[in-house]
Amino acid sequence: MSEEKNIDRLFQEKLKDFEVAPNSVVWDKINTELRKEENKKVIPMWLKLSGIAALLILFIAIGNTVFSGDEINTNMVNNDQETNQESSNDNSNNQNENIPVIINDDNEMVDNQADNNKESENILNAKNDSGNPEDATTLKKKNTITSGSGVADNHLSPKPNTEKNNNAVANTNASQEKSNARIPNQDLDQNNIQNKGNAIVTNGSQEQLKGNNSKYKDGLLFNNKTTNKDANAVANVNQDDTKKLNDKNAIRNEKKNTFNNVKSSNNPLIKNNATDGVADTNQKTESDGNPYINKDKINAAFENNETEALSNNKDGDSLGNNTEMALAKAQKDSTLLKNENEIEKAVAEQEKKDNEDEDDENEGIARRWDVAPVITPLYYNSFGGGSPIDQQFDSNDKSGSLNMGYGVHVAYQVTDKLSVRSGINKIDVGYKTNDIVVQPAIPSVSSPAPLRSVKISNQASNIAVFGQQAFNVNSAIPDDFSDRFDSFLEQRFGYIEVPVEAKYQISDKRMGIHVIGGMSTLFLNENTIHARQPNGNNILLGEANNLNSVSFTTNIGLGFNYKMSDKFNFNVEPVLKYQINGFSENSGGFQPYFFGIYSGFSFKF
Amino acid sequence: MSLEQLIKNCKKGNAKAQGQLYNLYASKLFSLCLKYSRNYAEAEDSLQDAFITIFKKIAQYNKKGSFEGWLKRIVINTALQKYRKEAIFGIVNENEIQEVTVTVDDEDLSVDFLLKIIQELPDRYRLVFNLYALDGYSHKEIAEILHISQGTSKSNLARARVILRDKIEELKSKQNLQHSL
Repeated sequence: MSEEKNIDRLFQEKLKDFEVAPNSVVWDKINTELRKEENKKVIPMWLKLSGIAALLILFIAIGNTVFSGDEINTNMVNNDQETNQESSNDNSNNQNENIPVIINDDNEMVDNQADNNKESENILNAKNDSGNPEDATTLKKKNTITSGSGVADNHLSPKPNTEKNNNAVANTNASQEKSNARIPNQDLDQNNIQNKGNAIVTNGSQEQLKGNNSKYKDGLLFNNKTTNKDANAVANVNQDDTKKLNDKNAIRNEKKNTFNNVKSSNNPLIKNNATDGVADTNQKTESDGNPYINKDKINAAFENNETEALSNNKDGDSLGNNTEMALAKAQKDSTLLKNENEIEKAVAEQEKKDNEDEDDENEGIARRWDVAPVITPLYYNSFGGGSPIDQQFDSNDKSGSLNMGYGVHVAYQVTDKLSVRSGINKIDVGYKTNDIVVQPAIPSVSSPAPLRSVKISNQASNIAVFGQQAFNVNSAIPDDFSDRFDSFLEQRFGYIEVPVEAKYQISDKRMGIHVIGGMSTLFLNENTIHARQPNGNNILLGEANNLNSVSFTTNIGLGFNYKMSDKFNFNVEPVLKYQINGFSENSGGFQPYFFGIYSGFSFKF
Repeated sequence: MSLEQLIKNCKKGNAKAQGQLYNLYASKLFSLCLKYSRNYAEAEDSLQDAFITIFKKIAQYNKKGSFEGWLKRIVINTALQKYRKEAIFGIVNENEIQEVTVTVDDEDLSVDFLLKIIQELPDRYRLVFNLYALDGYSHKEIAEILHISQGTSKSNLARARVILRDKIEELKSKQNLQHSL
């Protein structure tokens, strides 16, 4: 019967045992969410590791560039080289349009000269003066990274050149620049006092240069200072012949004007040329051919003050590379610079080298990416002796099986020796446990304990699996049961593999050798355990419950690549991958590894 | 497997253990969610969010206090969180009324009906009634949890009781009417 009751108590009592099972969909959602969280946790770790790898590679790359200073210097110096080359070319060929190569800044100066040679000289000197101190102070800094450019900028018109020039600065250049900077200053002073004396003069040749009075030389000097002192020296020598040269220059200027008018008018163009530099320079240098610098021609060019020509000389830019090389050498060998002939020789040599370097650079820079579909036989086995399935199989005969993997790798060339690559592979591996007895479970008999690490599937719920050694096998086995013996368990793993590896080229020949190191992230996507009987029966037992859905391997390998053409390589890479955390728990001392011989063609682009 | 072992496995993130833990407590906690929610769908959402929180924070569970109590707290917090987000607490403002004892006849009231009238309560009345009457929180605790004053808590409780009693009376009179017919 009803009874007066506190409403709180009513609800408490009624709802005390109130339970409602939620819709099963709720668990599915929760589970999905939880797995998502796990994946999120894993991916950041993977990213961290690859980030570390990328950093490492970056350091190595930077180290490489720093220690292989020569090449870098040549590249960086391009602007300067261009000017130098131009001057050298002009000298040798007299016709070389390169003469105008003078730095972009020079364009302005050149214009000035065109108007008033004297005025232009003064301006140039002024610029030099202003530029030189900066160079001296800033050269060191710039040299480390962009020192070359800084110098060039100083000499040239400060605005655009500085930016462009920055590309070129090299370590060696820095030292050179320092010396140059000093020299130019002196020269400038001398020039001012004397006849604009060729400030450009290289270390050895400065005095001679000074002797050269041509105002044009100053313009040259500016250029030279920024780029190659040697070139300046040459220019200075030529100064004597400036008058004659002027005539020649007029002719040249006309030629140059045709070529360069467009370019000269726009300083930015000049800069562009400088940056483009290498390729152009190669071609131009070849055409120009004569590494030797005709001082007369150079001087004349300067005298003519064809700003357009100077600014415009794209050819000069290309030549500049060679000159840069030459300059570098010249700097090293100051004695050579003193002698014009020696300089010329040096220039010639440098040009050759530059050309070679340029070729190399072009290849290296032009094709940084390559894609390689790979296929590999895969062998899976364990360093440890245990069984991943159950400890009762520890002493069973076990064997890895041979399977196939395939995938695609994408590599990025960081330096000519080092590349990083990633990709995606599908790998399937198997592992056999032999000497197994498989029989229907007999309810009346105490069945063996369930296998430790197997989640038994429904269809296998009435099957008993145990090691053969559980029987006294020596006793006669009834024929009826013979089928049940000598079965084996076959565990299969399928993974999606995402490798992150670095590749270091040891040998660059047509038949190259490289080493590979890195790691992979493995995503489990197949996991089955089958029992196979000798009569061919194949029973799906279930799946392993101790596998991590995400695991890692550390990879090390050796690779051989055969260069079929510039673009195609054939690669064969035996790689060992040691799995770190394939099993969540109870791996039973099982330490799996994969060994594959990855092979395939790679295509560069 | 002992509960302790199960919790341990859940702390490792073992999916199987998580499933078992869910099966163990889902019904009990879902009823809790139902009481704190406006309806079934909302209760499902709360349960889902609560379990995700539980599995994320299970590592923080130290064996002090009952595990079930810990679970319930998370569920209740999750349910309350929803209303905090909706910022309903500041909106309801009414004169405080005195705490009164409301009594009803203990009829054969179905659990479904009681749950229904709880869910039909205005949000804050429902929360306060649940916390105080059914889950043993004090007014002081409720005031802290819901960011209201203790007086408001008491007032809300009293109003909730009156509403619930009225609904029960209403039902009873209907039944009597049917009966007499």
